[in-house]
Amino acid sequence: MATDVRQRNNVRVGGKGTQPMLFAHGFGCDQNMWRWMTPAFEDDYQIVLFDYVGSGKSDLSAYDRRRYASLDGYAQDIVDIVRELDLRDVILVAHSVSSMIGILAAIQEPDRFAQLILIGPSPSYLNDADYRGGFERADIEGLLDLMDKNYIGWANFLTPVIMKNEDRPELTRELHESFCSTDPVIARQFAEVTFLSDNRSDLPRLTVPALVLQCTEDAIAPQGVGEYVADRVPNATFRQLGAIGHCPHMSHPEETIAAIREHLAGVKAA
Amino acid sequence: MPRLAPLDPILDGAACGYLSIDETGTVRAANTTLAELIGRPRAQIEQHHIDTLLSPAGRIFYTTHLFPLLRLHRRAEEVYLPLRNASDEEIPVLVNGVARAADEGTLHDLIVVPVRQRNELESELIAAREVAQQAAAAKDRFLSIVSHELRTPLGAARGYAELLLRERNGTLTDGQRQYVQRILNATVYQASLIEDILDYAGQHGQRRTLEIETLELEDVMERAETLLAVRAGEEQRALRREPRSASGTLRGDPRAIQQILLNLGTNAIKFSPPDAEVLLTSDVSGEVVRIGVRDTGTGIPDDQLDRIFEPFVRVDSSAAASAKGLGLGLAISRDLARSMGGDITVESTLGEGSLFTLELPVG
Repeated sequence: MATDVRQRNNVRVGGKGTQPMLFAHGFGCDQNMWRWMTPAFEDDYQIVLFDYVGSGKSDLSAYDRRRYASLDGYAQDIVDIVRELDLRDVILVAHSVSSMIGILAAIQEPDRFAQLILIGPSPSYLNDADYRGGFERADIEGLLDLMDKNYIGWANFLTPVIMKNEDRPELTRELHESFCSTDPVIARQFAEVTFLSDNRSDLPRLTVPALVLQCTEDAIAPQGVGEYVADRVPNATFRQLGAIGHCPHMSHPEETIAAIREHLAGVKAA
Repeated sequence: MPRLAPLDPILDGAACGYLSIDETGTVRAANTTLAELIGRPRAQIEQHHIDTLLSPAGRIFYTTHLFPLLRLHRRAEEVYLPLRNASDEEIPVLVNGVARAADEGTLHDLIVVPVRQRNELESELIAAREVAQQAAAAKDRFLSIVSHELRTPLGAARGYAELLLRERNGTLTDGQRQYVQRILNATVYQASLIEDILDYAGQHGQRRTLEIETLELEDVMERAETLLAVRAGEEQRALRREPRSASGTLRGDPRAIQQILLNLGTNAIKFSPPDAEVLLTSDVSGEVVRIGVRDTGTGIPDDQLDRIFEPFVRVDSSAAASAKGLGLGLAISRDLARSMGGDITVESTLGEGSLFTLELPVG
């Protein structure tokens, strides 16, 4: 398996520096989302991009329902990549759900990570007692319905039940042509895993230093959630971005780049 | 934020909604059609965030799918997105969008078409699919449980019949031996039917892992011939192989291939008239290895050719009526062939016979 990790996760390595900067995309997209960020770091870092299994141009046949039934399976993708490429001193730049995935990976392999940059992190998307994740369970069910409606036109959506995930080579080819999307079955499970996971209890276990970037008016990770993460991660820095929305690395790349640069310069100086 | 110039009257009253959104998600322009659809004046839409027009689920989907798509691909088509009207009801719409460079930055222009009726149909379709999936899973589970329950007592019946035949507990009369032998034959046959059911249910529940390897075509053919010669002999049919030897290699799981050829061969023997000949053929062309099993039976009517690979389907003919079986063999065989990257095809002429061909990738 180890030999296939690069291909399985469509790993791309570039940049002129030596310290690796590993970029982890969020739910619904793939490594392309980083294209406005990476040029800024190419001169100083080794840039490592990848797609989670089931996303982008990853090997869809490597998708295993059981492995990816929790964020741990996705964390294992990151762990596999840093081990396979033997990356050390890694700066992990993670968006959205990847923040929690990255935290889980860094708990497992603390010695390989130097810094986690968490863009719009949320340890749990559901409201619970005095915690405001932003969503009710019915909202997530609505999302799954909505995804079904969007996939209804896809060739494999209504095909007989006989087809199982495990071997559908013809499907893999077809989906690799599509952009920023995955297999409907996989996307649906990723949505469930993303929005129904509760990783609040994992936050204090992270020993690697982290920067939390909280956006303004973020529809996915509401205001208090970034502070919640920064309060519970032992070695965290909180920074509020003026950027509006949930994807500052796409909508406001300059501000996001500046925030990351400043933070890394501060770490270096200290 | 500067207000945009008034909309062109054609766009304003067009037969679809129009929204122009900047990259922060703020609506910079909306047409009257959209305002009427939402039940809010344009002033309550423009300069407000797109989130105010979406359900919570719609917000997630917009943020995680539609926005990245427009930002990266500059285009999105047929995206289903429920809007929210002034009374907080969902309005199902389809959205097409393009990104456009404007003085104030990139704008995402969306065309919005309500799809209420279509949406109801699609909901029913999705619900029906759900029901079908659950039913199929329940059927497989049921088959598997029933078969396991049947197999255990059958094993006991078979074991005791074998013990009786060994005559450890007393000698049998010829008549008794004949009866016990019949009991034993019946249990053996029934056990093979249950294996078929388990195999079929198993493939659809928990697939057994295939071990794909490169095989010599000659080895595969020789094994199939040896196994089938015994059955042909028992049923007084002749078995011939043409050409006599084969060269080349193929990719597949040896056990699965043997199971398929045994099934196709047994069918051919079963459906051929007494003293008829069953022909085994093989050839390699391009990337495909073809192994043929030809019988001289009554043939399969055209209108049934497609159906014979479906589970529990048996051809409607006098020859089939007298033959035994559940009609699972071909369904299992084709599933196996397909999971090895191959297939099974059939050609048939009424009164002359049928040719089943197993296709597998060249090794």
